Amino acid sequence: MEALLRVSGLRVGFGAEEPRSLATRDVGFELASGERLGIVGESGSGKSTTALAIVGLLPRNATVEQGSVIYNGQELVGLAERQLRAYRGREIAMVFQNASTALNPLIRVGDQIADVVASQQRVPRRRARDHAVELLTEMGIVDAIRNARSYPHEYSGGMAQRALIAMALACHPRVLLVDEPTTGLDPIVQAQVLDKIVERVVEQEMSLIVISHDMNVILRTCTHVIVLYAGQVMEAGPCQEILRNPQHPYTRALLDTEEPGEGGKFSFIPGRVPTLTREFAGCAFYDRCQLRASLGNPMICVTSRPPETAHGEESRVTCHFLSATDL
Amino acid sequence: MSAPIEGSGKHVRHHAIGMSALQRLVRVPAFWVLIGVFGITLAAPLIAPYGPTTGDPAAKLLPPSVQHLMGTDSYGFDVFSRVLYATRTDLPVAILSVVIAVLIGLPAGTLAGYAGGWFDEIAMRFTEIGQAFPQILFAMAIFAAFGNSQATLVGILVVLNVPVYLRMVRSVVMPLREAEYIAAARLSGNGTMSIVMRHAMPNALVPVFSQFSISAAFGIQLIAGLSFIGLGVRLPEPEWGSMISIGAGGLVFGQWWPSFFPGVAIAVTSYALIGVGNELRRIVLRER
Amino acid sequence: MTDGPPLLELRDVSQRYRARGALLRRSSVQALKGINLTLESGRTACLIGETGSGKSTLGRILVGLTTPSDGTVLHRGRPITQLRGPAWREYRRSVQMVFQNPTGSFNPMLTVGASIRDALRFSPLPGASSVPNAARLLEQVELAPQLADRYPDEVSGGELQRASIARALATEPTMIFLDEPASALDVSIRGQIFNLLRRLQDERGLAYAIVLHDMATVRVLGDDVFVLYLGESVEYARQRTFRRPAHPYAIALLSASPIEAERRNIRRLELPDVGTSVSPPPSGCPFQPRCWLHRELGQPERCLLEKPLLSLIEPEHEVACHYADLSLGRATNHVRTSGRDLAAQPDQLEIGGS
Repeated sequence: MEALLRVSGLRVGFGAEEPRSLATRDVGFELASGERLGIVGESGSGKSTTALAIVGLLPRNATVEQGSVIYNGQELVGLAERQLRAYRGREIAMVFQNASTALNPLIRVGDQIADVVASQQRVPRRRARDHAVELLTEMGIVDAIRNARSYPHEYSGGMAQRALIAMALACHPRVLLVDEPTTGLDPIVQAQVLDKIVERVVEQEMSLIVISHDMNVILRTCTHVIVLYAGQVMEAGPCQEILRNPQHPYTRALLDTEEPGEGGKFSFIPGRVPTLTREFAGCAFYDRCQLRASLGNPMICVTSRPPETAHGEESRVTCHFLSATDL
Repeated sequence: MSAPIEGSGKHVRHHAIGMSALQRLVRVPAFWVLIGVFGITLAAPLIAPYGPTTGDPAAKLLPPSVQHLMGTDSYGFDVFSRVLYATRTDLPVAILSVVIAVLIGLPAGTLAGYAGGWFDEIAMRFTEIGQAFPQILFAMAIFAAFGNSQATLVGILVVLNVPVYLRMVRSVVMPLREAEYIAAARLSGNGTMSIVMRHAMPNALVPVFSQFSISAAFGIQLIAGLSFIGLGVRLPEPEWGSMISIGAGGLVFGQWWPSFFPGVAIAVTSYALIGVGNELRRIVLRER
Repeated sequence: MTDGPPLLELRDVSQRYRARGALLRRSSVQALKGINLTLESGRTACLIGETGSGKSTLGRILVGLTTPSDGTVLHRGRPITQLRGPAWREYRRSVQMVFQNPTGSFNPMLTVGASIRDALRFSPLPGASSVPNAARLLEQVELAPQLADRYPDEVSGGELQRASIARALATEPTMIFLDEPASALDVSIRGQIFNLLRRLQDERGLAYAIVLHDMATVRVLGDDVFVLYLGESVEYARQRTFRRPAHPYAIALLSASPIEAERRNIRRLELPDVGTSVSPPPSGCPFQPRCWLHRELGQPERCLLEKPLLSLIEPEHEVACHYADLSLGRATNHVRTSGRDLAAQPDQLEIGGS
């Protein structure tokens, strides 16, 4: 089946001075119609940048140096703003991080959603407002009529997040992109919002991309996942398989941190995601990799970039020691 | 590639490593213009070809020439020399009055914004009264009461500027009351005064820097305006505004130079002050 | 058990705010009601509650940033409102706080080191506010001393939060309140913060009051657990007894955590999401509108008419629920109406500390 969205070799550089830092290095993945893909990685891994590159909303100091984003057969990289607008919202809708700041505090929530409906679908105001109420109800907001007339500050975090997603769904896009949908939400509300997203996406036969630093969020919502580190795909594959049998040391480390501590000790990954330039050689994860220590710090990890190799039916891993990760 | 060091920080956002404030300033053209203007203020007697009030009535209203680079005015004074000497009148008064206004407005505004209460009420009433008067009329009244001197001029400028700084600082400081780092400072044991001085005031400095030079620039323009109507600086003291005033009558007759050059001087000095103020603000904010 | 009065105690503390309602509507919000809480050295009290439960207000009252409208806060047996001079200063330096968002808790105009040195001015140790002392504190939280010269926006979230802990330690406190100290950080580094807190507690005998969301962390870290709902304490358990949480809200929290849910065999429980402009709690149980147990038991009237009070269901375990003995049983996948607890597996739930 032809993929709905195909990203390949995406390289985004930022900064004014040479050598430029790279937010992403050769990121590639495919999203089929109806598929739910998660992008997981720590802050600074390039997840948001990838999403912004897809919808053409990179900040001014960042540009796509290489690579392509093909949506429904059309290359989006390099399109003029005017042309991109045909895709943004209507085909690919994105919900940004920090739900609470994404809503205009001076306009009623229902009206904000109605604005989107009215402008994208050219329907009269009254119909747009009714549609907005419908969308809020579909997203699980009770008493939607009254809440549509409310202002954002009267909404709880969970409700605001639902409202934003309702806004994104207003135009019936084919792809929904959500960036860190659970920031600032209580755990119970988190679970509800995530389940609701999946419910709506499945019912409207949409594709979904979820970005999160929390593997649990991905596992709860997605069928497939790509693990990003320092702008590179370290591992990719179906969620179940990655969960059952993680190959890459970074994936394993991430999954370990989700486990509660045993004997009073919590698991974590020391250090921080580095920002790399084009010139960087070797494996980006080297400094924090627990595998290389056990292998005696092999030189190859320092000098040459690890290849991406297929693993299993649908997965791939980027590591020099694919077979050895079964240790 | 070096390993990420714990505690080495993200990519450093502020100006390139090692560039001090001075190094940044020297890259700004306005800074050099300002240095030039200050230089003239100090060295006017050495640079000026003539004295500010030495003149030959017979040589009045001569157009610019080699002997008189900017011509002469209706008294026969050399315009060029007077433009140079005028820096000694305009600049010190303008800058001094803004400095005094900041010295009063900054702590007062911080205290009013942070502590509120009766001090805030009194401070706000003062600023409201102060800003209610049209500036020129106010100046005229004060000159009438206290005499036409430079000290009075400074006093007037101070009174006109303090409300501006007080309100500005207060509005920056008020939201700080809720800031978490202020709560953290209280938790450490800081008392109100300590928080005001150490934590709130540095934040208030930021808008002060940009406002400072604008105030100075406007101060010069106000001085010019006042001397235009004969207040503040008395003839035959060289002052840009009064020079424009004296020369204004001659514009109709094609004698443009007595008014034009002082006007340019005001513009250039304003530009320099504002440019430096902007850069200072960027330095304080550590922007690129 | 320690001798003498507890380190910090809240007695019947309530907090009422005069709220600025929409337009001119004046209403008062009861953020906290009748809270009783005790903190002791070397112990970690976990405060659990959602947004709106009053946990942040509770923290501010604990550390003395806010004065409660009712009730008393006692530091070593003395009400803090009565403390003067040296006694007040002693309280002030021995009770500290770490905020949820590290970025907001540092003055952007000061370097990290300058902020820490500012706190060091109030340290009881000699040589107080010096650069070496600040460096020493940074080392204690596993940060490089060079971090002191950086500004907050040049430091990563995880590092800044550790610096925040270092600053809290500057006054040599005996108790630290932490408001969701790791929730603003990536999951991958949260563990570092908790390990650090644990180590510091072991070394210094600190008392902690930590607001937490994650039940798995609560299980590993908590010596005492307080569950708050809409400003009231609905469950309190000491140490091991929280293995059998009884309040339906606490159990719902467990069901939302995939690890805990699996571990204790708890099924997915639904709680409707209500907004902030919630109608005032009806007479009866404040949790009733959202309570899954109430629905499952066929909406018993008692929940609507009679407000449940905190009552002892076993030693060192209090719950405010009329049907506390049934709750856990109902939540597990094997349902038994006798309410006998089948889900807890005691041997696996080893909680560290005394």
